Amino acid sequence: MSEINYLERPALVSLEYPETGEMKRALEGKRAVVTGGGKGIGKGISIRLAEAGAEVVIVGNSNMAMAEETAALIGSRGGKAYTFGVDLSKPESAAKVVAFAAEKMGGIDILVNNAAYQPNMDVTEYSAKLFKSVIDVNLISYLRMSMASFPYLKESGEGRIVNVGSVHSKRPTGFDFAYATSKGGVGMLTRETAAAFRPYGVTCNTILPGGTNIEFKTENPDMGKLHTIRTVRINRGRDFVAPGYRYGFPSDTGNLAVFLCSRLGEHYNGCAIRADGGMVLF
Amino acid sequence: MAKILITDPAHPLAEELAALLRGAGHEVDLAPGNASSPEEVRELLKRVGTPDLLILSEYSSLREELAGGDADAIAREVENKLTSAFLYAKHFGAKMAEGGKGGILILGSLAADKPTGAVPAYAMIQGALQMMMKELALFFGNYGVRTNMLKLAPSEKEDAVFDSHLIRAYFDPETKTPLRSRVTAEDAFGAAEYFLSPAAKMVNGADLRIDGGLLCYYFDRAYKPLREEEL
Repeated sequence: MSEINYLERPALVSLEYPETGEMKRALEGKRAVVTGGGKGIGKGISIRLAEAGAEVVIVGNSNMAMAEETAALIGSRGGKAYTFGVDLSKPESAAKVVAFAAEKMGGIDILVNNAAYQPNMDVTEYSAKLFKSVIDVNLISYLRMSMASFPYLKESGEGRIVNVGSVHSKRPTGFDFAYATSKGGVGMLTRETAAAFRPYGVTCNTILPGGTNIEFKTENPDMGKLHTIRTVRINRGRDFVAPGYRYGFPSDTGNLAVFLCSRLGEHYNGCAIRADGGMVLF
Repeated sequence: MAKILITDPAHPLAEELAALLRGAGHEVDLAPGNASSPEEVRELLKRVGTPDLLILSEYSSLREELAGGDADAIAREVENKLTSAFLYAKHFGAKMAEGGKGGILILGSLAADKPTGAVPAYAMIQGALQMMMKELALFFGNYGVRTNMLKLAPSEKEDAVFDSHLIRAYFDPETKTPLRSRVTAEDAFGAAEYFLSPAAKMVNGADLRIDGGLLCYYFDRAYKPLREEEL
């Protein structure tokens, strides 16, 4: 049997975000909030949710221009998206996002906690301040957003929370101590949330993406420097994953998010599902 | 004889564990508790020296529910405990790595694998510590320092902490545990002795669940022959 050549197949996923028609309108009438929804994996999720019929509040911080671009792309395809800029590491931010979403959409049916920060340092390189900031964005903001959205998700009757974890919720990174620690916490936050909100018809699941192709643009020069370090470290490792392996695209995660948020996904609760093409299969 | 530091005297089994380890001839120090700054940990390191085994624990008994609970309290607890674990691991781990030997043993909980309903902050901390352990194993392992984790079922002292109206997984644990007994400090002591021994020289990045099989129990029914009074 010959190996599959992904390049010769019609693209369902790419950084061009092709319209697929798959699961179209599965989320008609739903109101979604996606943190970090303007770029990277969050962009793929925002676009797919909108394609499936949901209105989307795109929460951004470090690059609002990309959040606006994503909202514009959704608008050009007949969807509806709003942008909101806020630093989710601050305790008061979750309430602000929820108030904005309630004002614009009248409620929240879907919350996707996706915002994340990955400085790529080992344990000895991290300062306490930087470690805390990673925990605040990657874990605490998920907690605060879930708790602040709860009254609306409960009111929805079919509330959905999707936490974007990582394959590094299960396997260590070897290049980012705090990132993996935070994602391990997300795994148990998901299961606690699933148990706590289940009586109110709200489900909570984690998607674990693997290595993903993303556009990386930031207005913060320090982040640009860190990204260079990451690129070098990750590129050294990516060829060793497996023969025939392809890196993911944001839409791979977006597709799974649509399924989990649709009625077809209502029996999934407290799950951690890998969307990694088999990256940590071995 | 090994030199051991236990980081969290608030852990319900810490005092007993320290006594058992001392009884076995080890030199045991108890840290004052959670660390909040690098200076604090460096000062402690200077005072107690580099241990052969760092028993790292970040215990939390904060009972605050996710549905309608106090988000600030949970957030504060998680942030403080994880920062403390990071500070101990970074400074003590680096010192052990300099000497090319030693071990870190996280005195963790079954809450890393089984949600609680009652103490979500603790479960989040445990989930995070599990991945922290693996990162430490991967990094410090290169310098001869092994990192592992114990996941203990709640002891009798913790029944009130784990009592939940949402999840009955921890209710009546003696009945639900296939071995029909409870975790004690002796179980943690036995594991610590094992990790200190040459028998564990290749054990790194491992989690050892000590729960009598409680994790295997998930359905609220009897998995065993019924007792006469239950018939």
